[in-house]
Amino acid sequence: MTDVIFGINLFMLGYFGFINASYLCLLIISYFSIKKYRRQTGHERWRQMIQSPLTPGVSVLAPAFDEAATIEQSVRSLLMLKYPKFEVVVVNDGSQDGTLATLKTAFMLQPVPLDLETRLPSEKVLGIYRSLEHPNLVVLDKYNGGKADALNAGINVSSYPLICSTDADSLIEGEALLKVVRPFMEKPETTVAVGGIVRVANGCEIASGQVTKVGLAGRYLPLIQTVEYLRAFLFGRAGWSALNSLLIISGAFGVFRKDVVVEVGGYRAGSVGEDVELVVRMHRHLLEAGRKYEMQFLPDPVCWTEVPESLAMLGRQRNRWQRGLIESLMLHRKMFFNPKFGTIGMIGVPYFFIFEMFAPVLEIAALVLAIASLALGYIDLAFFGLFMTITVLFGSVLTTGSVLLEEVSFRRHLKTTELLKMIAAGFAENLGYRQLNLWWRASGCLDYLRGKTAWGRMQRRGFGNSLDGQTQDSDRF
Amino acid sequence: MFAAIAAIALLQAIVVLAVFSLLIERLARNFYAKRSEARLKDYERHILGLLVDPTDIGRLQQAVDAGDRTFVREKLLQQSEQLKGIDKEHMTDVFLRLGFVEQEIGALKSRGWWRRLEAAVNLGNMASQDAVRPLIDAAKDVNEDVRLAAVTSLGRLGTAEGLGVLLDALEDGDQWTPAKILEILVSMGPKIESEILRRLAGGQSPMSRKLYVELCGHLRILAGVELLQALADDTDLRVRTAVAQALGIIGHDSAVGTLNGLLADKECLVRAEAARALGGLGSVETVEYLQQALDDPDWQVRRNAAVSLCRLGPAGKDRLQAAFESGTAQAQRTVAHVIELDRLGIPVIG
Repeated sequence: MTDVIFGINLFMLGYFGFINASYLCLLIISYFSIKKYRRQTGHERWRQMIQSPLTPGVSVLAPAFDEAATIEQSVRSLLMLKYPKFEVVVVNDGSQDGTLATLKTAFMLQPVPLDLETRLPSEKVLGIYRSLEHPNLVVLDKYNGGKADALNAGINVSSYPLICSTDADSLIEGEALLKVVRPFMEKPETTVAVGGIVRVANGCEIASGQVTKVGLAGRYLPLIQTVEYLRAFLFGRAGWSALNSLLIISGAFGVFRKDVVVEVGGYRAGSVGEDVELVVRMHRHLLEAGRKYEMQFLPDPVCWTEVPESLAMLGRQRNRWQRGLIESLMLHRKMFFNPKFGTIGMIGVPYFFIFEMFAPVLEIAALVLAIASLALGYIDLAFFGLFMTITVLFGSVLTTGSVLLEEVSFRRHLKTTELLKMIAAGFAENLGYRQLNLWWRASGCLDYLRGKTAWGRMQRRGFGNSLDGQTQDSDRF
Repeated sequence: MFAAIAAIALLQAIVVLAVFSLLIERLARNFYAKRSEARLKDYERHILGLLVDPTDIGRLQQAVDAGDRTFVREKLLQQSEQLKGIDKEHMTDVFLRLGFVEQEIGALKSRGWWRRLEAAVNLGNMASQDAVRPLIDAAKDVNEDVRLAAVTSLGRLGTAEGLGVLLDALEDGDQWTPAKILEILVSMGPKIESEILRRLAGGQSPMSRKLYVELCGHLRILAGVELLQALADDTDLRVRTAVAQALGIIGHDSAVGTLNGLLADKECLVRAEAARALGGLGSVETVEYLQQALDDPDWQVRRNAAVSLCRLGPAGKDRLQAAFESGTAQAQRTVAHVIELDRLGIPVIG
């Protein structure tokens, strides 16, 4: 018995050692990758590009479900993007709260006869509306079919060669679209998808649909999530992108070549992780076809999102993200350790299988085992304490590293106290948040096994006001 | 146990060191920003005065000599970005007098690629003809970013000497650099037209043919219409699409036949672009062809044909009405959509 427990403990130690070593590697890779990106783009004159007729058109797709409270401000924000040629396609996905009526009044919408090209399957479209005020606003009204279905319908009505998926409750920065389109213009033959960074808007000052002053939320949950997002994007996403193994492009802000999305069959209707699934499917399809392609993450183009401030909503979100990840990985399990899929098959997919998909189960098991071993006397209190301290300290090293990356690169948080607060949050997240997160993700694993496919309801305070709304958000990190 | 304690100590040291460096870095930045603000107040009126008299560099020369070289250069470059015409020429003179052009030319040979990149960008902004030769050399740099920056700066300098290198560099298919310098290329006028036509006639790779076709269109080179028409049966889809687009932008009547031919192309992208371009010609001669295109199996072709007919005024709108009454179901849907948008005064997107 002792040998078995010792063996399991050794396995767990190895697992933690390996996962932390890989985080450290990603952090180092990201540092060099972000530094290079800053040097490459530091001299860009983005505004000059706004007048260029050579920039490709972008269709910004914003699916909306029961978002009457926030939809007007969100759409106005999207319409203010600084880009020469773009349209905003709002897809009203069967809202019951008067979202369409709000849009009709706010933007002087007029119904126009349906003329659609059904490139991708979607629920029945009820009508198309155009705005008398904003020639580049299109509103599509359809039966409810979920976010993926709404995005597919939006693609069908879109007019430009690039599509930008976003949430109707996120704020994209003015020049972000120009920045994110750059790789598509630099390598038009090979670039198929580019994702930007999603930052937490809670605590920021927002006026006219734009973040005017970056700040930190005072409450525990959004503060921890601010640090969590920073860590996930600045060293997670940037690192994987540098390794050309990017498996996630956030549904809150990702730009795709429309022809490739249509070629792979669009978003998977009914999926709870439609953003991850599409990216993995694109990898699989393009690699199977032997085509040269690139998917990139850029740390500079920013999309701001409001994160949940209550435990219940956050729990539902994390549960859904976990189910979405498992669903995507299981659908494409063929890629797991398959050399035919290159670094994606040999590194990216296995990493996500082992360290993201199984992580909550293994971490909870390790915690329970460690406590049981301690209680049964297989390990002593000093060893247990040391192990926990190392875990906390290592997490803090990663958090501090991310804040350091932010400081040497983009420096959005101008107050020194905010930096210190973020570092402190890196420690504080070990006191309850981390364990809760594990629990939510583990519940997501169980729910996946039970076949649960619901999105769950999210409530939004709304940017700059206190109204409540509900949404199909996907502002995953 | 010892290893674990050592690990904890190491991690603690890393965290402390990281936080400490973070704070030091932040303090240094804040200090530099405050100092810059104070110095800017000192120099601002001298910088603005240079626009009136570029020879009055006394105060700035003192600042440069006193070690404020980088700061003064940065501020002058920021100012220069906003300038045009005689003010820009005055600023170029200042850059030369203060030795910044020479400094940046020297920096093109730096070991760090980012410094070479910065120098190439700055030289484009300084707009001195002295930089043309060094930038031509930099256009062959080992680093791609430096090469593109040098090419962009050559474009900004707008000299005939750098034109060959500039166009050579644009041939690799990158669209970002042409987009950045298109305005400057247009302003170069006849100086660039003959070179583009020469290259258009002898374009070897599909990407280079596509580039020169696009430039021919955006620069509205009328003398290129014949060459463009000759490329209408190019084997590459991207070239044919660009030909249709360029002919539409130039808008010469003689392109009607060629564009009509492209309406029968096997690729829907080409047909859609041809339908759009025919509307750009503004000739009633195209009405017949566009009405036929309303029956195209591809949605984008039908849509573009309907929009083009709408743009042609009463003659085109009559045909649209006829198609609405007696066309195929697909054509009727498209026409109804476009007619309603026209009635509401909303443009069709795309």
